[in-house]
Amino acid sequence: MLILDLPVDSRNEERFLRGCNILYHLIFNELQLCCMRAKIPFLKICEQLQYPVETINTSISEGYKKRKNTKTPSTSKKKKTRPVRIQPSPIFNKSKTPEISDIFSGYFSEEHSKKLSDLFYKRKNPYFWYVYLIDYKFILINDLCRYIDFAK
Amino acid sequence: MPNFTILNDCLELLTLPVDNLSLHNPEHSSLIDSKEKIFEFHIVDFRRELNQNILHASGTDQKQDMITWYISELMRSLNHKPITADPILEAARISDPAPVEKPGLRKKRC
Repeated sequence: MLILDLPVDSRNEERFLRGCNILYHLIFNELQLCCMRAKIPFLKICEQLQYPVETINTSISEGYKKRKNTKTPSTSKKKKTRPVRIQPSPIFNKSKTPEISDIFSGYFSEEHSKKLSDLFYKRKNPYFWYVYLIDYKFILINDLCRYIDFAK
Repeated sequence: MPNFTILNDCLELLTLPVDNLSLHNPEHSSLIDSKEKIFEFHIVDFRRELNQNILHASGTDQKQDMITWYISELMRSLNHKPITADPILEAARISDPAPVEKPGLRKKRC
């Protein structure tokens, strides 16, 4: 049993609860990513366990499910359609490889884009960015993924 | 043999009463810090442990059972702490303020 050795004020208490919340959701994100890699139906398991999925962010599993459903080949003959071309962001129109800080500076302040580009060089895993930068829409993720391809 | 040390540590934290919070304990103090620190302190090891456990499980059924067990263990902590939806989004908004609008790009109002 842990003993209270420092006075814990209400601010720390609030931050601790918030930290627990973040930890909880990060664990679930990890579980969803793991399920995605191992091809395990995460949402189906939650349904079986009657887990309240509305309390967690299930966009990873839902996105994977959607992608999986669209990839399943149908028995009927498919109509030939032109592939949709995604317009690259203007920074990728340059002839040279773009700087990663250029990408971030389009979304964040100078101070934050510097911190993020430092973090980026440490972790190039797109899922990491998916989890962390989910608030900044998919545009950034797409730009980052394209950057990884571009810089290869 | 599957190992659940990190999961148990996380569960202990999630079920810890606030009265027993110790700021000298690095695990507790990491939760008071930013989400990056929480990630580095807990999730990196959790990911490694989870991946190892999944790798050791043979066959999809065993892997599925493993994930089921993980979720059911985490369900226990739901009664201890108030879990709100999407705190990551909320936390991201708090720690990363909205990008500063450049004065040159601002649209003039008529």
